[in-house]
Amino acid sequence: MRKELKIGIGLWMVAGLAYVFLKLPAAKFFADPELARIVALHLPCAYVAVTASWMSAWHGWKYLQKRELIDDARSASGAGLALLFCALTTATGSIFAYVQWGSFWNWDPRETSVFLLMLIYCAYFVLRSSIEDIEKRGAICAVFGLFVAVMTPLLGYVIPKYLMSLHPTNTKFDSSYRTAIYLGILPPLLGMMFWIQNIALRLDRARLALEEVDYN
Amino acid sequence: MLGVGAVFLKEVRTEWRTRVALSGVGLFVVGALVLLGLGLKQAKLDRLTPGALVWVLALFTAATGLGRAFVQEAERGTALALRLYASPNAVWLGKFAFNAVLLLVLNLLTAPVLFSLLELDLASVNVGILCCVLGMGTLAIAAVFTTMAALVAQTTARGGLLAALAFPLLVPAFQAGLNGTKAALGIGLEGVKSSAWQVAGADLAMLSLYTAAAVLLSLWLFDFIWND
Repeated sequence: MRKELKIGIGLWMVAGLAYVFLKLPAAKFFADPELARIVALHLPCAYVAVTASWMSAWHGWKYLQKRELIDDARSASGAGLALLFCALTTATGSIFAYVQWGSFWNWDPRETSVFLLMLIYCAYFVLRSSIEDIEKRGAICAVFGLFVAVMTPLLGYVIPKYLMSLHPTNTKFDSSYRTAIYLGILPPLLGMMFWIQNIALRLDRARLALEEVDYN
Repeated sequence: MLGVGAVFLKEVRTEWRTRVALSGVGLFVVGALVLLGLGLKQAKLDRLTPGALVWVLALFTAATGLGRAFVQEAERGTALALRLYASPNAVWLGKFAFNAVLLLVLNLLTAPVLFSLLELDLASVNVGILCCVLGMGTLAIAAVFTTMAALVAQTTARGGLLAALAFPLLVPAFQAGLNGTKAALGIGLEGVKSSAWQVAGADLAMLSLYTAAAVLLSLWLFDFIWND
């Protein structure tokens, strides 16, 4: 990744965070108006988690088509990022839920869905570590990743029908929240996701090259 | 379609020779029922608890009994012959049919036993709704477990991993099934204008959608793991 791009992502992130903490108004309809700002960090984490999950499935599909190990590495790092950002979404959501509704865990449907996605990606890595043959491992993990990517939207669609939602749907956020989420935090967070993946891939390329040396 | 029936019959025949899966999972269910009965003997349960336990037991039964389907092919070295003989879709559908029938029989037998053990008034249960919801839910469970068993058969872990892969994926089916069971037990119908069948109908539609998605997805993806 180019140096200018990294500096750009860093500056954008700093600017976004500064906007969230200095400019964003406290939201009046929340139990703790000051803490409502965490929404501006919580929501982008969820979006990035879903993006990473789809990215993982897409590279898994490419691996199944072309059988190039680097695609499997891309798919795996996407799954790792999905796991990371699911954990961040759950953590920020829990803090907010504790202040707002008095309990860290409320069986809120979206909260539950993200937590289940986190469990699924934990299982993905257990599956990964239990297969020795690297080519077989790529195929199995790609199939599981694709299965997950198609079935999990059902989690988001079905579960809210059965668990009562605590997520505010009728409350009106100040329009500056939209600016903070979609312009302030989400773009640099996505940038960071690709950045992390880039680092992971360089490591994987080195590993794959080493294995090739071992073969010859 | 001929292949599907042949694979299904082959599964039944090989199972009937040893009856390992059947007796193993059958004894698991009996043991689980004894434990549940003993553990909850003196507990004061509401009507919902037996309904929820039926679904939890159905999932654990699947995790115990449905993992063998592909492991035994790998162990006996018969996978190659099956690969030559039948198309991947026929193999998946045949195994799925066998798993679904096995699980269906077990679940339809355990539900009434569990209900009477937990002293639920059986006369108050809407049997039609319960059978439909449990049947449809069993298909969903069997579909997901068949594919996950195919994945797990290729790993060194096998046993413990199957439930870890399948349970989180099955949560939507679990939720819909549980809601349908509530309707069958007559819970939460007071003050609702629609009848129990209408309430359960939405859950049945949800379960069918889930099952159809799982089956189509499995048929599409099974080629990649089977022909490796």
